[in-house]
Amino acid sequence: MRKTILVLASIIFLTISFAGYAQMKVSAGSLDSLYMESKYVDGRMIYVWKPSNFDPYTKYAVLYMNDGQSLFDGAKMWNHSEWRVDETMDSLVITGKIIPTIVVGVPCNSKRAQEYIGQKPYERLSKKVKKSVESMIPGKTLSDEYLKFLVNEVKPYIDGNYPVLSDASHTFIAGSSMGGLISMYAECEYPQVFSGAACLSTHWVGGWSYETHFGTAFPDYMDKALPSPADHKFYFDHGTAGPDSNYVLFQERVDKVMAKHKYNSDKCMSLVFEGADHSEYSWSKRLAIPVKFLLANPDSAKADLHVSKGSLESMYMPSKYLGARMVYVWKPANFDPSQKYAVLYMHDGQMLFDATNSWNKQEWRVDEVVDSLIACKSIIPTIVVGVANNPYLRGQEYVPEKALQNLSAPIKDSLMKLGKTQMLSDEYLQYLVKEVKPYIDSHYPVYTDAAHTFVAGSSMGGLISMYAICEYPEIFGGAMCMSTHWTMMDSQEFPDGYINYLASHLPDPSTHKIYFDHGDRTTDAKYGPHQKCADTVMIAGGYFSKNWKTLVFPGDDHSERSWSKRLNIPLLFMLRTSEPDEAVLEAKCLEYMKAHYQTPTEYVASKCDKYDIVILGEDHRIHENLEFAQNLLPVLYKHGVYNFGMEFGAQEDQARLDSLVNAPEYDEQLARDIMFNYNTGWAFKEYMDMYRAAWKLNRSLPEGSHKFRIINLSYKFDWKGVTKCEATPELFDKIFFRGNCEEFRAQVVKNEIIDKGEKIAILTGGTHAATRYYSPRYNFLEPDFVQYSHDGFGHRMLKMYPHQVFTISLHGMVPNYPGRKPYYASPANGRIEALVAANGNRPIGFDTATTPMGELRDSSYLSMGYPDVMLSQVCDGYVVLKPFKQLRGCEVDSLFFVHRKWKDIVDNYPDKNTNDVPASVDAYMKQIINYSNISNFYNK
Amino acid sequence: MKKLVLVAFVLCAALSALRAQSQNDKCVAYLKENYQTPTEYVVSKFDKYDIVFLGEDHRIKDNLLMVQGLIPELYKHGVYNIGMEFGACEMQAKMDSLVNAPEYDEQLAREMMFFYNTGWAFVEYMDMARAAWAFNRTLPAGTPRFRVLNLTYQFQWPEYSGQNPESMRKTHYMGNCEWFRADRVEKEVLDKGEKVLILTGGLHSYTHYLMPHPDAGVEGFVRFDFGTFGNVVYKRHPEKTFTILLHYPFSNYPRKMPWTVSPADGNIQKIMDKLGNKPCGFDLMGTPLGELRDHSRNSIGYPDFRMSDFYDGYVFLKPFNKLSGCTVDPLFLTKENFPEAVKYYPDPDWRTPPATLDAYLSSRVRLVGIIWPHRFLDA
Repeated sequence: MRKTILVLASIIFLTISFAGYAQMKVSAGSLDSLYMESKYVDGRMIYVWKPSNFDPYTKYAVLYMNDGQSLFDGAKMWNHSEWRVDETMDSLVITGKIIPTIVVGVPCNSKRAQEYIGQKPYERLSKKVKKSVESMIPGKTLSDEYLKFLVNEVKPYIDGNYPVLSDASHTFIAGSSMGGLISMYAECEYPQVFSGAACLSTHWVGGWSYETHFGTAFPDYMDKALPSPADHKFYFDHGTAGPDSNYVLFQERVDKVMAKHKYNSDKCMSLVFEGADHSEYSWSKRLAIPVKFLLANPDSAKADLHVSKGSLESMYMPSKYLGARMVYVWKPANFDPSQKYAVLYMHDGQMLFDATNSWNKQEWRVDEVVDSLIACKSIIPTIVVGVANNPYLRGQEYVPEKALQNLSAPIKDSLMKLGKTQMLSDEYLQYLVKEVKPYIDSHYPVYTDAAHTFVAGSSMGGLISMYAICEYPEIFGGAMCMSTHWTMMDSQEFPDGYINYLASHLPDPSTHKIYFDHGDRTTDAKYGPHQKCADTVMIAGGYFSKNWKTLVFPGDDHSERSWSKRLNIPLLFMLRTSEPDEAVLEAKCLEYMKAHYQTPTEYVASKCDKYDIVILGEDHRIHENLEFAQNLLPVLYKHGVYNFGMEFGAQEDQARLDSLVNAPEYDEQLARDIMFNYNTGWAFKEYMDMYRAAWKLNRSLPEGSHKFRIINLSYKFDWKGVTKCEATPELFDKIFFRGNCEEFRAQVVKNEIIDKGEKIAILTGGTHAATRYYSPRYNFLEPDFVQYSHDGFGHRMLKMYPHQVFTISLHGMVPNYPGRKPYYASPANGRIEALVAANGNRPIGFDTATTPMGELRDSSYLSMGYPDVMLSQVCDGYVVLKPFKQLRGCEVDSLFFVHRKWKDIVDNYPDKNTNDVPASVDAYMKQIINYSNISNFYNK
Repeated sequence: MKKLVLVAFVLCAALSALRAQSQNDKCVAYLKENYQTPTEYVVSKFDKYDIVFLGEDHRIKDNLLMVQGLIPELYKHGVYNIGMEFGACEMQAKMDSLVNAPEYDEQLAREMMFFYNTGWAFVEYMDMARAAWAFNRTLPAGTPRFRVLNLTYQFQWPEYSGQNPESMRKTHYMGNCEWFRADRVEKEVLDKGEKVLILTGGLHSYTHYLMPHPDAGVEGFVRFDFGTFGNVVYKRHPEKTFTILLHYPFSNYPRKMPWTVSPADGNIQKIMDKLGNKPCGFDLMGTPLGELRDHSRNSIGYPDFRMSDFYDGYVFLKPFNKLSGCTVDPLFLTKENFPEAVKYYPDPDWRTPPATLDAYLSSRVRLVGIIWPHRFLDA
């Protein structure tokens, strides 16, 4: 009687539930319905669900699901319950948590039990059990036929009509209850077709009770039929309420079989959900788990991003304009709900916070950078709203739609071929402005006006940021466009379109700020000319240094790593407070110095471990710098650095120098001659004693070991016959007859070091040592009156070896901003000295990039053209040996001119085109002694 | 051996002179064939171009008078604007009103010039407004009016603290004046579908020519500036822009004397002399005159520099020794406006502000009284 009721109930349930589900609706993605005849089983509707970002040019995995009528639309179900497959799958696909997947729902019919039970395990049932289920399964099952229908009819149709990956590794099957049984059976029977089965609330028992259980039929079958775990996965689960409570024992048996066949936790997941019952509602709640287990996208971002500073809230935010996506709201560590915050909207939200979950294992370090700036009160309190991209439609969502309205037919055709037929950037901005922002405004304590609302992104994210501020100037007060992707398809039509659009849509410069930048490597290498055109437009639109900035970062490539490194710069430009809290920053610096203390020697040596070229930028003729360099040589040697490069020294003397540092006896006069030959005025003992230090080191080395070299980086300039005069290229051609000395030095490093697979530490003047920092110079014909030099030795080194160069500033005074007194300024406005003093004046070396020290601002000459220049923009590392007051000038060698002819001294007197030649040896010596007295200069 | 070298040298020199002679003859022939008066020449350029620069050496009366005389012809060719470097946009409304007033208000013209530059006391510059006014008086009612377009703005010289970006940003508070002028031409002329003749200093009128600077730090030891008014306009509107040099002396190559030289190594004047020094205008681009070599300062960094590398066209009015300086307006500087004149004295770091009114006035007179070549020798 009970069985009869069960059968009747099943028939009623199926009849009701089938009525009208051909018109099933989905709330996410889209659904194709078709009726499919079969030679194996009764024909039926088939439902093919596609995600909302479906792209016919993408290849999709396929998840076949049993009980297809109950997957998508609860309104059509007798119990108004559904799996919510469309919502769950859409979320997972769009956010890239699973590989792109379509779902094929295959409904059951009144022969559900026959089709789903599995013929081979059925054959293992005892007669008693068979008899107990014979009203549902009269005689023979139809499961083999059902699987033939799936494998030989449905799948070929799907493979032929949808852009899918048809191999087993991209084909999966899932179902619940008896749908779980047939899923398991399908993978065992067709391991060449299916590589994963999700079996939810698997109906291991015959009826709804324990008495009519299937015993060991299924585990026994699986023991014989399980495919290799190498390329297959199984997922099982059940709840503890209702019929699910009967599955515990049987699932345990199955788990043992799985373990026996070496299905470890990567290959088999078996879960119990406390309190979950046997319903679509329960399955809908946990569907994401098996789906992620089977279809996990190993390279994609996950919702569970982690931040190391502040806190992050993640939400899946639907839209009426676009496919739903993850939105991440980051709050600073000191977040105070009673305070109001500015909001920075950032694109590519899944790339901002957590490298472990980004596709390329890189991130912007937004949490670290923004939190640090807020903590120092360098920028106003800000929350960051990261809006995830849709990896399949990123281009269409980020390319400014209105800027490309006049594309030519060939370009449109090319786009069409790429499947990029529909631009979605207007919709994306509507999503941002009309859906995300209102939500943020109403759920967080934020300022809602444009003056406190900013938008930022890189690459195409830079384009859409520019577009956002142009389209919604009343919403966004500032746009940060990093590595803006002006180029596309090698067609000038794109940059022309963007820039013309910019020209005609620029917002009011009195109330808006726009920032552009780019590097010069990888994709960024193409941006320079287009950015210059954009800059012209900016100037024409009334933008100048106060409200617009375009910066170039040599050595930076098109990556999150590069953007993270310079993110502080646009943030300070957009969000800076009028008065940063220097006290907080200094406290952090001090804390940093104490926590990361390294002696200068340890510091430089550690950099040599990582970089092939370490440049020490000095203020010339400071005794302590040279003494430090001399003592460094044995340590460098231990770290595999066998070369020390010197700006002061001529290549013509390299052979003599090599011989000097390897001679049995040190020849002081030869050292003197070598230096004199390069520069008749460089009579400073400590520079010559670099040779002595190398000689000593080499003397200490065992025979046959690699010898240490001092490399003369320059050549002997030809000052002969030059008089004080205005410069001409011809004059420079004569003096620098072997070419630009910066390039010459770079080539020496290449030829003598890098090409030989060696490493080098280099001592050179601060201006030559700059790598990423462009030296500014006043020029009234430049838009902002500043011209930048980027052709120095360090710049060239960085261009040649972008990942092998590290530049360290040796503590020295810098020229003050023109027109300001005193003439020389202490770097970082004196705060380095103050911090080192607070740290006990211990000699120290420290990084500037990504450290609080790097955020120290400077307003000396270094800041010309760089408002609020920070130490991190000037150098990669910094070494303080002593405070300025304790530094002394180099010792002048009194024998430097002995036995030399005045004519020889005068002939090669350097910089004769700008300096007066002294009248006598005594006058010259006096001049040199005066120059060595650094306190004279530092107190100027 | 010495004799041989001497002979070779003499031969080379003779050959070079012959070559120059031959080139000059070609130029003479070309000019006879293609003679145009300065007016005809300048006006004809508007058939093809919307923006024509006239690059002047400042304070030469003949240039100013020529430009004033151009107004009716320009108008006939549909050109209704003369753009003036010396003039502040803040005064544009007053300027528009002045050139359309029933009576010419000389004092207003004076005040407007004073507002822009307290030292620019030169009558012929102010009289550009008078010429436009006089012409507008001849036009029937309802016809477009001729306009003098002030291209610059008042610099805040009291804020000036030396040649550095910070100081310049304060002084040039509306932005770099080269770009500002280019923007103004676009907004006031091109955006309205009009055309303009622009009178500006030589340096500002460079378009395709980039100003060189010897620099030991760059490849080739020369860097080039590309931010002059003309460079900016040309970069934005290359097809619409033409630039004409109003015969002026060039600075000599560094370390060479005299300090100034006659253009094209003196050959322009020689050619004009052969033509009786008739005022004329001619193309440099694509003509034998453009092929003339020049070794002045302008040639730094340009191997085999030719006149066509410098400008598109040339207008010759008179030989240098016949050119006159502008007239100093005795009413321009007064006891009343002297404090303001000193306060707004331009470029105070390289021109010491005058101590007295008399000193200021006499410095003005000195500026216009010293004409080629002595003014440069005296600089």
